[in-house]
Amino acid sequence: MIDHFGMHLAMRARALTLSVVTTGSTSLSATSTGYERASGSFLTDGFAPGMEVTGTSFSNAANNAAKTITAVTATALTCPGCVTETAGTRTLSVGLPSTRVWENLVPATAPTVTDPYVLEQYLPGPAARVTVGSDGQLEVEPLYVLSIYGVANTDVAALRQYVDALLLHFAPDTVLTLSNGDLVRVRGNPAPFAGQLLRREDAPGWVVASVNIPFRCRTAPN
Amino acid sequence: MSAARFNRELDAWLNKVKGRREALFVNVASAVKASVQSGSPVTGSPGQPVQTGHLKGSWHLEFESPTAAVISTNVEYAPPIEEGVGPHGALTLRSQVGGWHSVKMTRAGFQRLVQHEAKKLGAR
Repeated sequence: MIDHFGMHLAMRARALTLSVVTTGSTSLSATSTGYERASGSFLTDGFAPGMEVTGTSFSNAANNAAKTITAVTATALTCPGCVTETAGTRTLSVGLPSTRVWENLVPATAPTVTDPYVLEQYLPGPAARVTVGSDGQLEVEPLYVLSIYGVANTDVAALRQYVDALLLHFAPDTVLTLSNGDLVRVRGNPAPFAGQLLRREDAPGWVVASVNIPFRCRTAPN
Repeated sequence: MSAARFNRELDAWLNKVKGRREALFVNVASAVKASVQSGSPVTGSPGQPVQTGHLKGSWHLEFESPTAAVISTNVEYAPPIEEGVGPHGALTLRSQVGGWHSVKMTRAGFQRLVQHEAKKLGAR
């Protein structure tokens, strides 16, 4: 049977595993103004102002907490909320923003204009019986829309990379398996596509870009 | 069957196919506009929300050539309505009809629209 609830949760679960940018495990330190590295390059890795970065394996919890990058050089990320910590083997990564506005749910943390956030919409789409007979299979084509609200006036690198990463993460033919055994597959025609950047006017405000992911699922009628 | 008769029948079939192809193109273009403008059960598009009717009425269809059509609007607030995002964040739907994402739902359902229109032509 058509399981919009299951499909919606499966799409959300997939989104939660998004990886946009990462240093990989490498030697990193923290200062009062952000993070530093002695080798490699944050620029080459793809970090950009406006991205939300989280740390792994820092001793101080504040250095593992999500925070928004305000400036990037090859060897330094500037972001508020860090505390000094000497170099060690750690990871810095950017994934789905930690502030998530799921459908019909007030977020645990309200969005703030200095940090990116994501908003989801699940569009159930039309359904049709595609094989003959009263037991014919039903085909449903839902659309999953993720809108990334990026920090205004930070250029396009952060938002574009969030969008590109989502398009890759939900590439055509990506299959999600539901608890009832049904397979939900990302369509290839049309393939997932991005919307234009739209600016909000409230200063400093956000700029939003949506990623639209068309799916298809065939299921028994009952 | 003689060669002459075969050629006549082949020409007749080709003309029929050409006519149906042209009709399908026109019908699909019209159906795309209707899906964006007023919604469609084939694509799942909700159609444009309505307050004054200005946006809904602004969508128009233009045939640029026998094989190309453009469905467009020149209303400045059409993109925010499509995305459901306004100058102060997510929009609240106040219209009794329509909704967001009509263009992307029409785009996602385009193949179904073509199949639907082709089936209607084939039934005649």
